[in-house]
Amino acid sequence: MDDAIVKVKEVQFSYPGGVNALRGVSFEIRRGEKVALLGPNGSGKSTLILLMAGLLTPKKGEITVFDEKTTSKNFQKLRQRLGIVFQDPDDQLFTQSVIEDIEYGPRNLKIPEPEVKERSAHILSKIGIQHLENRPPHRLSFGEKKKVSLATALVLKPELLILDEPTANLDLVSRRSLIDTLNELNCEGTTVVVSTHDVEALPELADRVIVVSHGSLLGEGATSDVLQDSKLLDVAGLEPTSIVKLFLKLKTMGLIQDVPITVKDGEKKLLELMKTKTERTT
Amino acid sequence: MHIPDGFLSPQIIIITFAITIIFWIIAFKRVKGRLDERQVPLMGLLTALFFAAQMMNYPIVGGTTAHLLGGAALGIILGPFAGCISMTIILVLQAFLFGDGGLTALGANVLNMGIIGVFVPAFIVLAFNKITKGKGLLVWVFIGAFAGDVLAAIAAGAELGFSQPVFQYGLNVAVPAMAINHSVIGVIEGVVTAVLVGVLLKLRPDVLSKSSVLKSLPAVKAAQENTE
Amino acid sequence: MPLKTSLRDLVEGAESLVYVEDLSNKKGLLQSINPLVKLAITLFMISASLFVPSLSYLALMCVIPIVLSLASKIPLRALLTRTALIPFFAAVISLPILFITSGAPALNANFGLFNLTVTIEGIQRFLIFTVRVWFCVASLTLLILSMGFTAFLKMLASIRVPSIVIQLFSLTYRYLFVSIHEIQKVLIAKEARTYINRHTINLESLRHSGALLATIFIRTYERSERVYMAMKSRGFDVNNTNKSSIPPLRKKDLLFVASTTVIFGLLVVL
Ligand SMILES: Nc1ncnc2c1ncn2[C@@H]1O[C@H](COP(=O)(O)OP(=O)(O)OP(=O)(O)O)[C@@H](O)[C@H]1O
Ligand SMILES: [Mg+2]
Repeated sequence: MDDAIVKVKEVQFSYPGGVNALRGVSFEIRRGEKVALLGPNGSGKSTLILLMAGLLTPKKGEITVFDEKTTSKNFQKLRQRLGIVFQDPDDQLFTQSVIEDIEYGPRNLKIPEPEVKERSAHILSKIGIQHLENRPPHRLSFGEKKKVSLATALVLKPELLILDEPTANLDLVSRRSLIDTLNELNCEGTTVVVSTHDVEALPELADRVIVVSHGSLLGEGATSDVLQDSKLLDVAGLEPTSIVKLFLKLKTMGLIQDVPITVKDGEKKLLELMKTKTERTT
Repeated sequence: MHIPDGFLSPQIIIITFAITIIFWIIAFKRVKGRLDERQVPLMGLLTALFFAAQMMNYPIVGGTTAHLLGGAALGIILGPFAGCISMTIILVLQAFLFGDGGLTALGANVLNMGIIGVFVPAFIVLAFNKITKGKGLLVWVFIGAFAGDVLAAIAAGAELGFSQPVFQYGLNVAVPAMAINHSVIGVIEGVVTAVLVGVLLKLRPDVLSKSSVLKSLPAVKAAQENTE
Repeated sequence: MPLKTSLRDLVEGAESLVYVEDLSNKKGLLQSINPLVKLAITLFMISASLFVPSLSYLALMCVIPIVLSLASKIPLRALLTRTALIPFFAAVISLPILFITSGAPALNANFGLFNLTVTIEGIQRFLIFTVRVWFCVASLTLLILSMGFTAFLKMLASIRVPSIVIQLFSLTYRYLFVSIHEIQKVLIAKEARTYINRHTINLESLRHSGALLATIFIRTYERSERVYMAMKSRGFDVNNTNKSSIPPLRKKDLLFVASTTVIFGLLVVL
């Protein structure tokens, strides 16, 4: 079986009103990967996600997900293997209570009622939102809404999970627990795709990064490579993280060869550096 | 204009229901084929939107308030048959969720606001659209919406007037009272509907492309071709 | 359109819907009755009241909604507050009846030129109308307060409303909340940027309302497209949704029908 579960080929898309959102984008996503779509505001990330979910139709080019074209009649059947978390939780949550919203998807897929209940109870406790169960979604705080949105997608147990800016506007604790949840799912075999312009969270969110800007693909590569490529990031209107900036400077000074991208690795590197320094002086 | 229970006589209840049911069947037959995957949610949305807009009250003279009926806008934006169904859904929900308008009066209320209030404006706009080739459209929208409201009110007055002795007053009181009262609302409805249609034509003519009343307008046609 | 009243209307509307959902989930007599039976009984009670010409019978009948609301754990206050407005309106419009009906004078007031006489027949007609309206409104209100939206959809299915229309009802209900929130947001955003509070209605303010409605229209339209996508991404399909099942008639429902008819019969015979 082919390993690529998402294939995006030469996709172009424009919105009514003439906004040219995508101008020919191609890439693939393989099973079990953890991929980030990186790009500044308005670069076309959300549009790409809606296209990958078959919710918008490309003007040119084609997208296949699980070997089925998103435009095909059978795509609706694949929906349960694919979970989407929208950028704006107000779009995602439309019923009168949190629990109703979580059970909406499973009910549509005609999953038997006891299993629906079991799944929703499990997901509520997993995300830590049991206390919100009977609240109307529109009265929740933004962060709470984000969590409920995630739950509505996870309850379908998707093989491919696509999240549009999951970390935006979350406080540190929520962000931490979100990243942990995503990594746990990924370890269990779920393919995770996130869109973000949050370079700081990138090392933990993704192993591979696809950079888009102004509707075009600027480049792709392993997270550590992309994060060090200040030229690529610059063209995309983004900046390397402070930690990468610091070590890039050390690299140009000839002190180190490779640049760490997480604080943990950075710390290790610094200690190493200090050790060799003291060894040399003594 | 929502007539409650206890205002209409059994005869009027039966007659209004009979007329309304015939219209329901015709409207449903006309609309059924067009209700596809995308059209159903759109219609649901427009219905909900005008339902919500009806919940807001405008103050009018003497501390009384009035709200839009929305029939004109729905009839013009969706076309009269879909508009009739949409207005029916609003009226049924108003009765069954808020007690706004009675159960036995549902036939009369749909006849007034969901049939007269929808078809009259739609046909006035459609007819003059043909005659004047789209010139002065908004004036005709205003006239249509105004006429729709006033005629609906006159019909309501007639139903009440014929309902003696259940209702207290005869035609000579009920009809003028309803007509005068609702001509103020008619003006409000007319202006608001005309501005609404005007702004939509300018900003999002594509959302009007489903309307059998407006789809022949050049701006709407162009927008429709653009999205395809 | 003064912001305060518009917002209040919307908030009250939305809250009333949520309140009804809560009440209809209580375990009381009416809540447990088949929705179609409830509809039929309500229609029967309302229609029957139209044929009752006597004030004392009508007044006696008013006990029925009160008993039913107690048996259904519907707070009497909720019933009374929700049934105050329309009968009050009915009373106001039928006030002149007190004076214009000819008959035996009950009260006489002399204002120089005017001589106002309230007749016994006038009082009778006035009371029959208002009491009947209250009875009708109370019957309908009980139906509303004991029937949640799901039960309402089931009732529509029971009377063979086409399933696509039921789908429309359910979407309208869902989008109603989306619309209310969108309108609230636009109204608040607008208020934050206007400093004059216009309370009079004139062409200018109407034009404003129309333009505002258009803004709301476009915004809600666009949001609904995204909500539609969210629904679709979670398996929504117009042609393949759970058909509302028609709830079966049970013994309890028949018992309810029988007892209500007997009570009515007794009232008429007495
Ligand atoms: N519904 C729409 N109608 C018209 N234009 C749109 C619509 N949605 C997005 N666009 C436009 O398409 C382009 C790409 O938007 P998109 O939402 O995909 O960007 P994004 O990368 O997700 O941005 P952000 O980081 O701000 O979420 C933008 O120029 C935007 O203005
Ligand atoms: Mg986005």
